[in-house]
Amino acid sequence: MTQTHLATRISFDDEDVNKVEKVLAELQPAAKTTIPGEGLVVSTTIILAVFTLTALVNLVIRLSRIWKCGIIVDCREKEITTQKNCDLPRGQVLVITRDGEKVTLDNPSEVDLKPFLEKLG
Amino acid sequence: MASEWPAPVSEVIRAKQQIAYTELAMKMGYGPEPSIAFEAVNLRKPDWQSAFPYENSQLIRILTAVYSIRKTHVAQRGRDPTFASLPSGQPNALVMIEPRTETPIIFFERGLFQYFYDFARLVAWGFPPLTEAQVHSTKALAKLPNRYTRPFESTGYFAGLLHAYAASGAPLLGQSPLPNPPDENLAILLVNYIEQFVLAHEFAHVTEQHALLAKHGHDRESLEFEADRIGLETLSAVVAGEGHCWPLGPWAIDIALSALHVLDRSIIILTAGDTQAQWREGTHPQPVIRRAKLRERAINAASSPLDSSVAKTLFSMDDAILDSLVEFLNFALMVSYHQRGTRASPLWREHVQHHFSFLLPKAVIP
Repeated sequence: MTQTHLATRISFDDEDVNKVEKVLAELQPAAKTTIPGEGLVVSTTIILAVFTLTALVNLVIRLSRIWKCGIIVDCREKEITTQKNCDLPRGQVLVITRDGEKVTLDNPSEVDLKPFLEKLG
Repeated sequence: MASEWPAPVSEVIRAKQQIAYTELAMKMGYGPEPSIAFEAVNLRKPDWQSAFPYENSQLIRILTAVYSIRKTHVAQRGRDPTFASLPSGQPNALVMIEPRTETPIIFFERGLFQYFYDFARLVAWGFPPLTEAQVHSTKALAKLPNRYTRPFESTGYFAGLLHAYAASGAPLLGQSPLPNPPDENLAILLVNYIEQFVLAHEFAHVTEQHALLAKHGHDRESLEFEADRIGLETLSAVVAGEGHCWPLGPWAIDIALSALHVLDRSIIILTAGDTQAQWREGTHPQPVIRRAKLRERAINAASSPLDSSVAKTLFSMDDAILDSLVEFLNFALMVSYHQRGTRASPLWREHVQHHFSFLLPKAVIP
């Protein structure tokens, strides 16, 4: 069965870009564009990628384990935004579903996360 | 206008702005609600009919004007950039190259405009005023007085403004608590040149392909130094084109880097109650090191002994005046921390975590 492909934006700073790229490479996105941002006092990175639902769930789980802070997964728009957020503790994932429902998960597994993202697929 | 920009460029701008406002909303306690943060900062709702609902058109007009002055005096390399604004109170600017169209997108943070404008006004309060002749002639500028008694209130304004920034973050655009100085022309001159320098610094990241070099393991701090060097060269061309005397360019950059350093110190004191913090090695050198390198470069790059001598005099003046202002500032911040329990704004949290490690265990990151 083919899965729907989901356009995703991944945003972070102060993390090892190579580690994130390695995770993405293992998840085999259908498309990927990395856009680094060089700043006056701080730098940042945005990655635009297209994933299947399973790959997206795995991405969020893996990033939640390697990033220093929590993650917001915002599904309200056509492009899903996965952004590092240091107002959330490491390992915490705040999911905002397409309907605007907000759910906070601590160190989620695939079983925890998938039901909230399934509606996107 | 968005219709002039290719779709991939618009996509990156919209993404970055939405992400930035979401982050700001979380910091402000609104939860992940970018439109609420937008309304709080811009005093209006996002324009959902626009291609860029999270854009601040006032800042774009300023950037466009700054860029058009640059284009008048500096030969263009590569494509014209696209400008966009970001909402955080950080004095930062950022360049991203949209890879499909190779369009540079330069993002300016709201905090950069506000802070450098406020700091330039502080300089106008605390430093000797410049005559029209001194702006246009190095010979006249060399006659700056050796001694200057700054207005009494300048000390309080300096401490008050830095305290406000450290404790509350950047104020909304145009709502700074600082009164206008008697000589506003000096403030305007300085902030215009600071904005030119920042633009030139960001442009240098594009023309010198720093993102590619960084990806291939090039030392990132040295890339920042190179961007500063090119920023100095570019600003010098703009200053000459405007008919102003050369030392004003290095002086404006010196003020900008001093401003970043003083802000960092203020945030550190309201984080840890003292000044004991170490700069983390990473992507950016600390402002005081950048300033030292710039000074050395400027003195060596001066085209005449008079230019070099006046630049040195201006740098010494910065040290003398700022050191005495900072002494009072530090005292005021320590009192605020220890006696009133004031702490650095949570808006500075990532900035502190990213750039500093504390030598004493009692520091509580905001």
